[in-house]
Amino acid sequence: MKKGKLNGISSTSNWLDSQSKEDKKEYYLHDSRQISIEMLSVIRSSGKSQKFFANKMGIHEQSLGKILKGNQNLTLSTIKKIEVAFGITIIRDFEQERLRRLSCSSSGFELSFAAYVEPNHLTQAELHPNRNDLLNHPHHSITWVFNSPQKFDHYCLPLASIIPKGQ
Amino acid sequence: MNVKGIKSIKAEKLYSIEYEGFDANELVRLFQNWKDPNFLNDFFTTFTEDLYSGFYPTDRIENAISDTILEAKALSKAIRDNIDNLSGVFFPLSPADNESFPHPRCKAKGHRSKSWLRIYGINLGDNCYVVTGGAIKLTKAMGSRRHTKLELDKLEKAKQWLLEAEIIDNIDLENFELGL
Repeated sequence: MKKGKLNGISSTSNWLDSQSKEDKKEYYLHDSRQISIEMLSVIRSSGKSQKFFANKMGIHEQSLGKILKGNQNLTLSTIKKIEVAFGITIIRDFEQERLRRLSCSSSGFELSFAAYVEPNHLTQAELHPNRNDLLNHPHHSITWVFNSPQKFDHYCLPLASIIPKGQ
Repeated sequence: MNVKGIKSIKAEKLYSIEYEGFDANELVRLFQNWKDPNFLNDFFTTFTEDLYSGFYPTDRIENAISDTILEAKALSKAIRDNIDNLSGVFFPLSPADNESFPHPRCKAKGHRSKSWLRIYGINLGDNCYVVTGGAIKLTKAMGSRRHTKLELDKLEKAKQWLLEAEIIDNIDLENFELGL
């Protein structure tokens, strides 16, 4: 090998620097890629085109293409557009908090969350609420009490689909 | 696919071939693709049958995309961490490309025990490597799919170009071609 010739004809690539810079953005790039993967999964299973979803978001197809490359620092506004157009929940912590505080007064349901209640204060029935309880008592106020946020999430998050948002 | 030029990633340690029709050199292009969910989604959708053939343990395209990105990040780091001594990252491409040859073809793989990421290159000796391409290899033999077969052709084209640019010697090439 002739190192002199090799150095003479090659120009320098900034790959090493660009990778280091990318490492520093990893704190949001990881999430950006995961969002893209979820969006692509919805597009694939829907059988619709990327253009269809771009229209739903109210953006150009090229802009959606950039988002799907998974290297964008997405704004809250864009994230909300994605959530609505793709029917996915991206900011899950807020969504769970909303459900914990949920009170469906318009339909007569009441879901209450009381944290750190001692387990021996709960009856077996109270610990096993389900979708049927909600559907069979549409005009009653039902209070379920859980002894931990984890229990609330376990029992109540699956009910999210029948609880109207924004209440 | 003709060679357009060569880029230095780190002088006398790692170089990367540029091909006509592509803006980026191969190392840059590979890592751009391997960290791009949209590219990977298209790729795994095209090669769904290979993905689910059982050669690699994968059950969903979403997992294949995530695994590829994680592996690409790890492989990029391994190259950067070992840039002054890449002999632990690049290995002979096949038993025929052993270290006794002047400029054996070589490959770098992802960190999983069964990894589908491949970077292909030529070992110039003195701990110096040229990247000629790379692929997501979902089948056992490189010749069985067009995109991996293309990588064998690129290795050959790059070798010819290195000879014409007088970076490797005639005697090296003769030995290389004859497998001596």
